[in-house]
Amino acid sequence: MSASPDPVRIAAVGDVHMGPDIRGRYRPALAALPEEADLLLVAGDLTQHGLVEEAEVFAEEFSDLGVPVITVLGNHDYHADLELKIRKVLSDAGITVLEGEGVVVPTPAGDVGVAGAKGFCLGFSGRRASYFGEPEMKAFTGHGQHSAELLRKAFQGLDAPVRVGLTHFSPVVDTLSGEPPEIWAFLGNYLLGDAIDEAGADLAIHGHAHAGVEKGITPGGVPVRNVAQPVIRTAYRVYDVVPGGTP
Amino acid sequence: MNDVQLARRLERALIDDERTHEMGVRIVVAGGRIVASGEVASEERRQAVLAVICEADPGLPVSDQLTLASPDAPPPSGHERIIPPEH
Ligand SMILES: [Fe+2]
Ligand SMILES: [Fe+2]
Repeated sequence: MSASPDPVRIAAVGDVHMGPDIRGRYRPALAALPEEADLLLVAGDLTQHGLVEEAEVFAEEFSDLGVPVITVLGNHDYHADLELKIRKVLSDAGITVLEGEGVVVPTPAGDVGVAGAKGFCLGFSGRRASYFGEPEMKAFTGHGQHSAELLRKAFQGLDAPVRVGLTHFSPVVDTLSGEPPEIWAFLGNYLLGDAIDEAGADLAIHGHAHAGVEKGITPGGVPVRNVAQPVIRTAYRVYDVVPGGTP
Repeated sequence: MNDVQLARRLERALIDDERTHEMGVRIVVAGGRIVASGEVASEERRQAVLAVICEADPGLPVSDQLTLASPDAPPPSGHERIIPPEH
């Protein structure tokens, strides 16, 4: 009988909301990352107010960790209309920012493909915004639909034995449990879940729902993990995924 | 404006104000005072929350029950084995 294959070790956290006032809080906790994981995913809301100086603090904390760091931005990172500058600060520091793109990371246990997009609001099946009526409503709904198209696009051609969806907004309602149901439509988008299922992903990582719970599952059975830091209350979680599914 | 309306207005101010953008602060107005609770990341962010509440000037005393996130690095956590679906 052969030993079961080694897992790919995927570390993840979200919603660290960095600013100069909490400079230095994460870096000591990330020192052991290369022993624990093969890559780190950060699920958006990297900054508190979407400022470049906050992105610089994030870059100080999360660059040169000894493993690849792959992020998506969150709604807070867009607040000051500086998202392009924030992306540049991060990429100059060697941190990958995905929006409608995928990246393949080689690890000792095999390649990991990460498809990333921020996502957006919209809601969930039967309780979603419709592309109907006023232009403002169509813009809101259209952006939600487009965000899912970006995630779908990110998975296209992403060839790796383990594939992960990385978003800020939630693809399922499960992980929103604990948030008031009235705001679920602002926390996620079921079309993101559809994109994850259609792609046949192995794992979906998101943030944004600070008062939600960690674990959920898509209708197609893909494990979903809400890694918002106020939910996991740790520097990062590590998810071990065996290439090729269960042995 | 009743107590519930005031509480919602203050929570909205804490989300919208450029100094705070805090989503996780809960405001309750009861017994003639404003109670602020929830976790903030630093002393600076706590002071900003209190400043925004005071500037809204509801004329009621403010009870600060905010908690500060630990200034230390967050603790490590274990590994979870993920079982992907059969594709
Ligand atoms: Fe957040
Ligand atoms: Fe967010």
